[in-house]
Amino acid sequence: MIRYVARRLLTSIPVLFGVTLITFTLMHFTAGSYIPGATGSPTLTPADVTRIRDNLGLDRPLVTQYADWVGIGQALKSVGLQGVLPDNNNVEPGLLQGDFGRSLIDGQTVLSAIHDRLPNTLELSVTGLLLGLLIAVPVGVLSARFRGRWIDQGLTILSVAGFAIPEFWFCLLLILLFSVSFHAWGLPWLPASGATSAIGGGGLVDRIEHLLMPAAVIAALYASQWSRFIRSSMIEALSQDYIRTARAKGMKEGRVVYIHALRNAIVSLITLIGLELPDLVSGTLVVEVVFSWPGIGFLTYQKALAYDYTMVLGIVVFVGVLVVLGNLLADVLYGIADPRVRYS
Amino acid sequence: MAQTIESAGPGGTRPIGQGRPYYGFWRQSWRSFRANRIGMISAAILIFFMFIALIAPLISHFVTHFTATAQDLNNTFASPSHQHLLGSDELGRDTLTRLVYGARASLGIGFLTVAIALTIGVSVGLVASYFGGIVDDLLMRLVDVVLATPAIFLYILMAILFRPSPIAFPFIIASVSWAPLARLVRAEGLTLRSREFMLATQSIGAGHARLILRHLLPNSIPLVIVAASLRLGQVILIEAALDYLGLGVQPPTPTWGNMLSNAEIYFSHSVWLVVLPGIAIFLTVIATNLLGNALRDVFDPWQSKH
Repeated sequence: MIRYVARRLLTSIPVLFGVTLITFTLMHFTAGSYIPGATGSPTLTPADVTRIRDNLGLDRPLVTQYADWVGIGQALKSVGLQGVLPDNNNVEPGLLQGDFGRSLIDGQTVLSAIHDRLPNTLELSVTGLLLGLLIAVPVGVLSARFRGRWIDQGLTILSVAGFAIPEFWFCLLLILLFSVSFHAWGLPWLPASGATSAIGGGGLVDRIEHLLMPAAVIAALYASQWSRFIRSSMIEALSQDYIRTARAKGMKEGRVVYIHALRNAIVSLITLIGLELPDLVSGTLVVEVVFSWPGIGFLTYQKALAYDYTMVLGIVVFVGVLVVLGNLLADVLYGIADPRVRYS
Repeated sequence: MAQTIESAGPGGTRPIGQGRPYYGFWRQSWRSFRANRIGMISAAILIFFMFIALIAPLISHFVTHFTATAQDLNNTFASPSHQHLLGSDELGRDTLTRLVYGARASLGIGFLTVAIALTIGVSVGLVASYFGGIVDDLLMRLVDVVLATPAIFLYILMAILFRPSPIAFPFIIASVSWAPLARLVRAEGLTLRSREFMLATQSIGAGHARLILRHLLPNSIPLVIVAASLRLGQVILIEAALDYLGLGVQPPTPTWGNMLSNAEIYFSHSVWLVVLPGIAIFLTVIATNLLGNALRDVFDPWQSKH
């Protein structure tokens, strides 16, 4: 087990290296002619441009810029090998030093920005995930028990619809109903943006009011995917020999379904949830933007529009690390939950 | 007697046992697809939307009498009426005309994206599974890298970087969405690779190119068709979301996504502006998803009957 985890961690190093290469290449293209905050300024002389670009180190050799960004530059310097790379005079810490780079515009480190926004995003995505599970498990079990009957067909239609509905449009419809129309009809309405009210906000009720609609959208997405999945793994579980045995020895149907079959059906769901872990951070972007939810996704969107690419790329790499760890965690959990799985 | 005549058609004359004649894979699939009601309805919806998209200029000329960008400032936010069949937006542009042209953008970009993603994904998957070893390792690590990068962030970055035109946009989405396809095709290729017919073909002296193009590729086509159909819906959703966020196809050109961009502002008085483009996206995506499921049942009747 430990050897398996160690080997997986080792093989993930080149993958993460590849992620930094892709993102760096994109960054380089974007940065090619870019000076932060100065686009179109009439008083800017060519000398200024050179100076700013020089300060940011945008005109150094590519290898050096990359090494710097990743943090190899500084690592080399600390062991006295800075001469290996041409023009390596940067002292900024890089990705390896742990703060994932700095904003081009306000100098904030990516890690501190993530630290500010991550709790909001997790509040939204974890609520959505739990709500989604809460819906998906009973729906999946019901569909499987009454397979082919009207209740199964109805739930199937709902999940097909949930899977095809454009996320942002669903958000808009909810806002239209619960904020705009409810307000117009004089009913208690829900706030359509932010995580708390600007004035006097922050209490528990206030937070929940803001959370309801965006979390419902995310829950609906998860529920429509997972209920199908639970349905088919329940159907498979219910056809196993141990279920026949349980029924044969006179066990109550409810116990057979909920204790014997469901436990086994849930095993495969664990992998699926593990694969969603990185999505807890990056998957809510569209919903966050529609609801102006102050999370990682909204931050990335705003920073991208402002051309603050070091910030965006830092976040991308951060989420990349989460993806790799999430996949690993999913595999490990799967092995713990189902001892029939052998690591090789 | 009728049986023998039918079975002598193109596609093979090999009778199985004494009963049903053997029709050949594609003909048999078509027969079982025709019997699949949901699949046929979905296909009909998709074909209807494609037809609408193709004849968009005709609809604009003969039905609505407005072009997609013509402004009718005396008639802003019109309700559905004789003049504007589905109403008009904040500049008095005709909603029906814009929806019809939006179908062009959404479906056109969708199909082009899937075509590009398939080309890359299928090539990578087949080459990786055929050669195995270091080629496989390298290509699959590349797939891992792409899959480890959060897609929506990449789209946003590239959208800002390349200022997507309707032509550049498919390349942006395809540059990420080929990866899962490659993984899928590789798995299929690995199974095919170990079948006897591959060894037999190899032993009569077929080269790599022939083995891949004439034997691996045709045999993985059913899987690819199903994957492509399911992917199309996802691509249309991504495209609409990016357009909505203002990062996709830019405004004067109508798309279902960017028609919704400002919709929140007009909520209170023009619900139609918010509802209609969304329904168009929703219907199209449902149709592609159900079509994909139907095709899977058709091509692989043993799996997924439950």
